[in-house]
Order: sequence, then C-alpha cells, then structure tokens
Amino acid sequence: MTRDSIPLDEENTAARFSGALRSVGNAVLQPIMTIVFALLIGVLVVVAIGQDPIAAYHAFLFGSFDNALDFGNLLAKATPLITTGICVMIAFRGGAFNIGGEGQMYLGAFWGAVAGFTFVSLPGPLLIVVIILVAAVAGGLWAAIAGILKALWEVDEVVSTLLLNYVAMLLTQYLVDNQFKDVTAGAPMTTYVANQAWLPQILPPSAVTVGLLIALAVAIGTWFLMFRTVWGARVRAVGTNRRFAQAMGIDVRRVLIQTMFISGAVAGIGGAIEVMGVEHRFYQSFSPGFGFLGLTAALLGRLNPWGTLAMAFVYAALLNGAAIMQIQTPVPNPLVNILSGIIVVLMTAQARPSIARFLRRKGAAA
Amino acid sequence: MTTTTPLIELKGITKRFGNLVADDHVDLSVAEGEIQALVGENGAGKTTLMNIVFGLLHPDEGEILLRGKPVTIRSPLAAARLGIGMVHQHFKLVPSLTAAENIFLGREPGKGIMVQGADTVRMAAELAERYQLEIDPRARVRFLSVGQQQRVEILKALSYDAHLLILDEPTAVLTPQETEELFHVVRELRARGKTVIFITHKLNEVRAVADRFSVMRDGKLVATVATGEATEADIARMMVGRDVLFRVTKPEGTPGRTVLQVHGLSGLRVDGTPAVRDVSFEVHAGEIVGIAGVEGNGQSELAEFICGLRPPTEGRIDIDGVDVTRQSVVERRSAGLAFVAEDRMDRGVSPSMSIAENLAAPHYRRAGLATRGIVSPGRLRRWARSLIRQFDIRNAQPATPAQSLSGGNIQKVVLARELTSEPKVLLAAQPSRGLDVGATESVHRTLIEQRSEGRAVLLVSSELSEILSLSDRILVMYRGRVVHETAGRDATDEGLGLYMMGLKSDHPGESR
Repeated sequence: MTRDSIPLDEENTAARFSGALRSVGNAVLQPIMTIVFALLIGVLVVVAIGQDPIAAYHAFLFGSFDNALDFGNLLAKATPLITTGICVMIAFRGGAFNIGGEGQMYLGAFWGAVAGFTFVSLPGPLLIVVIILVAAVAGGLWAAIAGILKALWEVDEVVSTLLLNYVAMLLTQYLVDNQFKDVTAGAPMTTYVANQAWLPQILPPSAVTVGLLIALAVAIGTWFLMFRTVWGARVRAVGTNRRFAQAMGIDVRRVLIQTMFISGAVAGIGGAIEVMGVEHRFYQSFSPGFGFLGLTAALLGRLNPWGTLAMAFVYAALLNGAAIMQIQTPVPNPLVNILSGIIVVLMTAQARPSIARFLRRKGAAA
Repeated sequence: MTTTTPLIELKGITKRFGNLVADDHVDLSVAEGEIQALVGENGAGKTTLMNIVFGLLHPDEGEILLRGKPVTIRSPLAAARLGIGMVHQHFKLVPSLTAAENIFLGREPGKGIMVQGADTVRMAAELAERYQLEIDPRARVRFLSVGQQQRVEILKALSYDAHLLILDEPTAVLTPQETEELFHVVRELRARGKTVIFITHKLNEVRAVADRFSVMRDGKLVATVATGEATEADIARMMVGRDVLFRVTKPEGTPGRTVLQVHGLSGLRVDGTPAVRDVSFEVHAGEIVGIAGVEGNGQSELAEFICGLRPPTEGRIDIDGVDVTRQSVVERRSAGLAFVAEDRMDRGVSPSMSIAENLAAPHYRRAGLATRGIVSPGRLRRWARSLIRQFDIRNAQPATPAQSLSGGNIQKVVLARELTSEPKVLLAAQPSRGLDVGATESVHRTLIEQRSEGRAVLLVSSELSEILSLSDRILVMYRGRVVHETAGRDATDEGLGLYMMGLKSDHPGESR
C-alpha cells in the first residue's frame, strides 16, 4: 500500500529536470557509442591500407575544430542535414517513412530559385520569406503525393517516396535544361536569385550562412509543432497507435497527408536555404545526397528532434573531417563512406536485446 | 502434508527493483505431487517469485531448498538440471519450426551438424504419448491454436524431465474449452507424480484444479490453504485484503427516456461475411442493457458500428434523437457517446504515449487544454492529475507512459477519459477482460454509478456473470441476431446459455 501514497500534488521540478536531461542523454548516448565503434573499425581499415591511423584520425576528428574556417564549414555542412533529418523525423512520428527528402529538397530548391529570380522587386527579408514559403509548398506537395497514395490506396510510402526522388530529380533536370536554363551559363543551371535574397555569411570566409539559423529555427518550430500543439498530439497518436487515434475521432487519413506535407515542406525549406546560401541559383546535382544523409542523422538521433539535431552536427563533423583528412594525410576521403556503411549496419543492432534473449533461451534449452 | 519434506521450499525470499519490493520475505512450500495454485492480484509478486525459482531472477535475500537441500539457481539452464520447468504467459516458441523441432530446439538428435529430423519427430511423439498430451509433432507452430502451442511448451518443459512444472497464468489466453482440457492435462501430470505450481487470478480455477493455494498480496505471502477449506469469497478476501462483492448491489433503476436507439442494423465483418443481422433495440437513460453471447457472434462489430469505427450496411442509429448513422466518431462523441473499446491496448490507449495525452486525446478543445491549437502543458498536467485522483489511478503521474500501468489502471485511464465529458450513452465492450477481482469490482461499481447518474449504459460482454450482475435488461446475440431478450432479474446462467449456444430462440422462424 505504501506504493500508492506517492504525493501527487508537489511538482518536483528537480526530478523533472533531471528526467528531461536523462532523456536527452539517452537520445544521444547510444548513437555516439555506435559512431565510436564504427571509428574503431575504421582504424583497422586505415592500418590495412598502410597508413598511420593516429595522424589520419587526428585530422579526421579534430580537423574541423582547428580553426574558424574549418569549423564554419562544418556548420555549413550541418545545415542541410538538419532540415532533411527533421523531415524524416516528422514523418516517422506520424507513423510513415519518408525517404524522399532528397526529391522534396530538389523541388523546394528549384521553385525557391524560380521565386528568387522572379520577384526581384521585393525587399530582401520579404523575398527570403517568399522563397522559403514557395519552397515549402513545393516540397510539401511533392511529399503529400505519397501521403495521398497511402491514405487512399495503401500504397507503401517507403516505395513511393523513394521512387519520387528520381522523378523529382529528373523533372528539375528537365526544367533547368529547357525553360529555366540560364543560357549564359555553361552548365544546366538557372539564373541567379535576386541579390537581396543571398543569405549573409556568419563566419566568413567559411561557407556557413544565416541559413544555419533558419534551419535551427525550423528544428525548434518542429519540436513546438509536434509536442506543444493539438495537431502534433494527433500526429503522434496516429504514429503510435492508428486504431486508438481512430477511436479518439482523429481523421487518420487526413493527418497522414498533412504529416507528409509538413515533412516535405521542411525538406523543401532545406533546398531553398542551399539555393540562397551557397550557389545562389539552382543547379542540377547541387546535393551530394543530403536527403539520404539526413535520413542517417535522423535514425542515429533515434527520431527525437534534439537527437536528430545533435546527430546532424556529428555527421557533418564526420563529413568535414574526412575532407580535411584527405588534404592533410594520404588517407582518401571515401573512408567516411565506409564508416557510414558501418554505422548504418550497427544501427540495426537495436535487435541486440532480442538476440541475446534468444541465445539465453537456447542456452537454457541446451 | 507437512510430515514429509516438501519438494521445494522458499525461505524469506526478497526481491527489490529499485524502491519497489516485489517479493517481501516470502516463505512458500510445495509438496511433492500436489497442484498448488499461486493467486494474487496483478503486481502482487507471483511472477517475480516464480522467475526466481526458474533462475531468471536472483533473490536479494532468502534461500531455496529443493528436497530439503539448499540450492542456488543461477539460470534457467540450472533450473532445468534441477528438474524445474516453466511455461511462461507469453510463449517462447519459434513459429516457423514444427512442434517437435521446438521441443528439442538446441538439442536435436543427430551427428555433428546433421539433424535427424525423423528422430526428433519420434521422440516428440513418444513424449506426447507418455503424458497423453495430444499434438502433431510435424505441425508448424504458427499453424497451431493457442491451446496447442501451450501443450508444446508444456512438453518442452517435460522433455527436460521436470519434476516441478510452473505454469504462469496458463488460462489467460485459452478459451473455456481449452481451459478444461488444460485442467485435465494438469491432473494427468499429477497422476504421474509431477508437481505443478499454477499461477492464476481466477478464483474458479483455484477451486477447479488446485489441492492447495497460496495467496500473495503486495509482495507478501498471506496464507497457504487447502482448497477444500475456503470458498471463493474467502480467497477473494485474502487476495484483495477486504470483502469483495461478486454481485454488485445496485439500487432499483428508474429508466428514463430513450437515449440510444438501434433500428434494423446489419453489417459485415472485415472478411465481408455478415456479422450483424437486422438488430434493433433501445437503451434508456438510467438503464444498463447487457449484450450477452459467445464471442464472435457479431457483438464486436455491433459495437464498432455504434461507435462509428465501421459503417453498417443497413439500419439506423440514433443518439438522443439525433440520427448519427452517417456521422463521424467526433460527431457521435459530441452527440453524447462515450465508449470503452474491447481491447484496451488496441483502441483504448496508445501505450507509449503519456497518461495525460491518453486522457486528453479527444478533449483538448472541450476541456480548455489548448488555445488556438497550442497546448498549455501546465493546464494539461493539472487536468490529468485531477482525473488521476478522481478515478484513483494508481502509480500514475501525468507524464507516465500508459504502458507502465497495470491492466486495471489502464482501464481506469480509459474510463476517466470517456466519462469526464459526461456522456449520455456509455458503450462498454468487455470492460473487465483480463482484470483481477479488485479491478473488476471497481469497473463494475463505475458502471453502476453511471447508471445512477442517469446515463444509458450498453454493456457488451462474453462474461455471463458480469452481464447477470449488472444488467437491467439482457439481449442475447447468436450468429448476428438478437435471439432473446429478458429482464435482468429473471435471467439465469443456464437459461441464457441455451440461447447463447443457439439451442433456443425467441424467433425460431428466422435462421441463416
């Protein structure tokens, strides 16, 4: 009976704070362990190709933090990973896998660029807002296609979002090769967006811009949307137990389509940030697969908003570190691809407890 | 029974999980060749205690004597060597393997890596023969019924030459017929000199199968008693620690106006076959109408049609005079409908979400928990806390995930959510399924209170005793039709049973 007499009235602020801290800790600790383990395996690879692992890892791990330029470049690399990671996180919370972040980002970047060189008379801040909105709608509608297909005909969104990536990339390629091509440029790309929409650098001469702040604002806004609004509660109800959501009177199909729209919108905003911050125009193959890298960041972050944010930075540090390592040591850049592969494999180690249980049972049976 | 050395004796076993004392200095003694029931409410510490005996957990204090000799059971493997077998509540079988392969998993006869499949089958068949447990050794486990899977588990335990067999709530997943067969098996095992510990919280099972029973409450062993010396009421009192009302006393009802009206309702199952056929009835304010029937005769679908979770093919549903047949769940809820879904973990709660969010799911706007769609965490927390207090939900904080509560407390969360909007109609489907006596009693009291407050209550249950003790009127469903209607006070078990099995009908003309 003593168990029942926990005082319910006092708000234990300290306990709640430490609880929150613990949950963030848990969200970050496991993926860090995964990465550390992958790095250890990487040592073997470096040794196998006859290089000095200490020198290579020194450049790889600490290169990004040596000076402001390299650190700024790390932040620049993190920017698109934040938005594509958050994109995956939103859909997952609503019970859907969106692996079409890449395509949604392409459409956001393209239509954002179009808006940027069309509404040239608008003042800077307003034009930036317009570009972001246009990009969000473009990415959102693209993702909503998969949402509608799933809501109406149970089309698996894993397949549809994946395939729509290629449609999006080819569509933008077609448009930028024809109607929207800048004829003065040698490669398929649009004309520049109006000068006032170029995002200012915040750590010159590095590549990081105000876009990082926009991405952080999007991440915080997403957290608020998912955990502080009725809509977010509905999304999470659908994501955790669809039949419960139905019984609560939630229109599961509508919420699913809305979730996909918001998820794609965030990816689209990521595309617009790249356009306004980096190339200042849309050009085909502006992304080295940010959509997929963001997917990895989100999964490493256990699909928790803060975890995803943290892992976007960690992953950017790996990417940036690999580039620095390639410059400073003879170890080639693709090491980071090997590490990513190992990380993805290790992430499936979530199955570990059940394997252990299975082995124990077999042990009991023997 | 105490003259000879007990087969197994636990002395002062204590197990703590953090601040929670799961088992508190438990002394338990089980004689060779007896069936001893271990009873207690959910969370009383029964399973923890048995997991200690089976080597899955290690006690913080106390010792275990096997045939008078102290033993340390480090692992299930060690337990098996000592002749202790356990069948868990959730089976641990490989669905894609055959019954025989499951029984001898990891010990397949054969040379090297070559497995002699035929030998496995023969050995399994011999084992089944010896204990008269009929199974098909070649059948793949995933195609077996739950009762048959349980036999495979029992055979697996016996294949280690177990003398002591622990069955953890073995009947929770069984149909009444399968339960009967299990009792037969257990008695058969006793006849062959095996000792059985039978965990349960169902009183009738204690009476049906056990020689003695031990009662646990709040981690302590209350008493060990010979079954013949106790009535079900005695056992319940020991489990709960106070008198338990089996037949809830309810004041004379005063049915008012018609609140729920179902007219000519028909509809299909998920597989497209007819589930409900031309069902009509009314439920009045201040009245409990019980729908009895063997499960699978259309009651679940009827409930889903009324809630708006599935569309019927024909007929009409009115709530307080408003035709809601084509309306959404939200519209029906605002017309005054509340419902307790038949499977708590399926439609009743989202297990991983917090209690507060589970309580608030349909109420954000109505209860003023959000302004312009933005939730006020403080208001949500205070609102949830007041419901937790009002409905006496134990071990609960607003932020606790629903899944960490016991079944009875999860059901309280569901009831709190559904009743806080002061509905006109409450549809309660299998509201006490899987709950222990104490929790069942509390659910029943809540339903009676709702009736006294003038709500119309529609109770759908396959538990006949529940229908009989609560209902003012009873309808019996058989093959999708209402075959019988009677006043609650006139009904008896046997009488309703004939209608439930389709042997009698008020309208014998209409069939199929």
